[in-house]
Amino acid sequence: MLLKIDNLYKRFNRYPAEPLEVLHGIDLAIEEREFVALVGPSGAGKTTLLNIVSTLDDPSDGAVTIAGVDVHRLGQRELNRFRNRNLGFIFQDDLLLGHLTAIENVMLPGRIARRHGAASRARAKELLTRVGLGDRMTHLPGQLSGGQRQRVNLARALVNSPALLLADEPTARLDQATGRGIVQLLIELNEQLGVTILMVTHEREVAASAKRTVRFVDGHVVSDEPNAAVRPRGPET
Amino acid sequence: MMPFELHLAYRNLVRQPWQSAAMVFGLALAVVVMVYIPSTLASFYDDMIDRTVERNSPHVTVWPREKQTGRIQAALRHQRRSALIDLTDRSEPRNRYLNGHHALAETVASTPGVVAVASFVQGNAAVSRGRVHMGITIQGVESRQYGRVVNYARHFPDERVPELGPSDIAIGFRMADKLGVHVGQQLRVATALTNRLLRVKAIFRSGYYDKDLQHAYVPLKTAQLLFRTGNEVSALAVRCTELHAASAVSKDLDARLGLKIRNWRDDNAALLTEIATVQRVALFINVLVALVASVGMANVFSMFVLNRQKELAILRAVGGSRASLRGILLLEAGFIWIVGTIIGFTASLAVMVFEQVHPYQISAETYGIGSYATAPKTLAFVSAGVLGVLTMVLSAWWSGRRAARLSPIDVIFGR
Repeated sequence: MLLKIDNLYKRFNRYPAEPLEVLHGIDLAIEEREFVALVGPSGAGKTTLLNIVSTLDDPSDGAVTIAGVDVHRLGQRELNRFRNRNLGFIFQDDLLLGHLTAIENVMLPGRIARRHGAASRARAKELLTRVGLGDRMTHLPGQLSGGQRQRVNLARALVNSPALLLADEPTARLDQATGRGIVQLLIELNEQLGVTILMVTHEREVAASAKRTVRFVDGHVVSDEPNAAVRPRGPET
Repeated sequence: MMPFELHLAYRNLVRQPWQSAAMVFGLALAVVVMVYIPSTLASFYDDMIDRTVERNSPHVTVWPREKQTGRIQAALRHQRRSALIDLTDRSEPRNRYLNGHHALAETVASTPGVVAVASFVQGNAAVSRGRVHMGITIQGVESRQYGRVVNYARHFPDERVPELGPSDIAIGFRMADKLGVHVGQQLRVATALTNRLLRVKAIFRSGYYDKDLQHAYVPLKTAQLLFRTGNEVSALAVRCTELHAASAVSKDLDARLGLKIRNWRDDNAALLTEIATVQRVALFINVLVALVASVGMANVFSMFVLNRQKELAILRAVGGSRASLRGILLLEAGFIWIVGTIIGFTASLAVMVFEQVHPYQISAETYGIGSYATAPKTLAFVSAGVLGVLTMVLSAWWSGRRAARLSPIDVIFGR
């Protein structure tokens, strides 16, 4: 089991009002090579859960274990290292450094991990070629389209061969065709390279591309089924 | 390949070249101020000390003791006003001379820290030529002996003290100008007790205004005749191993001899007080400049952090540590410090080189010296460099602390 979430709670303080609890005792397990979609209406707690799994946020109660490591018990230094080497992120905004080229952006996690320069560059080139940007490596983010920037994000997320790829609404700001291209890439990465993916989305079509869908409502898991069992619904709002 | 922090720091600086240049320029300016002000004051001080003391005065002088306490009380009791005036005038001991000065000179010469002793006679006189009259100070010395105590040979042409005969006198160039006299011409010198015609043997340039205007040298014997001192002398001039040994030597002599001992600090107390005051003001200005530069830089770096929150959040999100973030800011600050300091040092040196070629002209009447040039002072450069480092380190640390506290989630999701 790659990811195990045990009895996870998350509360936000709203002094002087009562704390707001957005996750209520979440239990979830994801095996290696799985492609899981988290769906639910806005405010359900999907992104909050993803942020906790990514270790960018802390739970109020409960535990998150990734590759056998209780990540929220790690010290700051170990946590940075763990996040750098075991987790990859794609956010809905393309969070690229605007003054670095595409290849420099992709190399960033590798350089943080103190990987050898030449090896880091070779890996970045390979990934950019894989995502279809072999001829755009020296372009700045400002010179790329939205879809191309999201591909650079994807390449960057994979540069350290992470155990788990976390995607938060990766197609939200893209047009349909571009979004489909991104989703297709995710499918290929999962099927061909065995990348384990946990993706948050509110789009039914995007969720259908995953192998398993976990449905969230008001901070609770209301269903967790392989995608063949998911009934067609309208877009979650 | 360079570490990623260095790479990012460099790229951050070059992506906004004008902003980076402005910071470099601001720091360079602060460095110039922090180097130039103390250097110029130190140069002025050194020049003043050199010209007033090293070239014109002994380190220590030994005068007859003034036994005045009893006489002051007697004068007050009997209300003798003229005696009071006489007793309170401490500018020079009149009509009081050192007896047995040869033996005394030997005693003084044997004091630790003393390298040379010379006897001299000194007093006020009037000099005239034609219709021009002026009051001067006559100093009677034995040239060679006095030359070992005060390096006044440099005042004369060919840097050699002329041999003065019994009827010779050496005067300052400003005095010569005022009297309209040249070498070989005669002057009438009058004291309270006698007057004589003396021939101008040499004209000197001491570099000190008062000396060049109002001082004259005659042979020791001539002065003894002019002031009717017999075989006695006014005082002993003493040279120490080095200038700052004068205080210790004068204390030693004061304890042993029971005479009036003055050192160069006593004789230049007013000047030294003024210089010390100016130095304190300059230090205050320097500290202020450093503080302003620090606050300015800290502010700019805080703006850096504010404008780059998202970028810093991304770095944290992909595993960058807080230490790395602080490191990036520190490297940016370091680069600005290095370039700004080099430019500041170079500009300071350029100004100083220019001043050496074109010395700064000042009022000789006010300051005693007519010009000075700022010389590079190591301490000023070192302290400016250190202050610059502290400025940049504090600025980077302060903003790095802020950057490290960023919650990536709050920034990325705009919370």
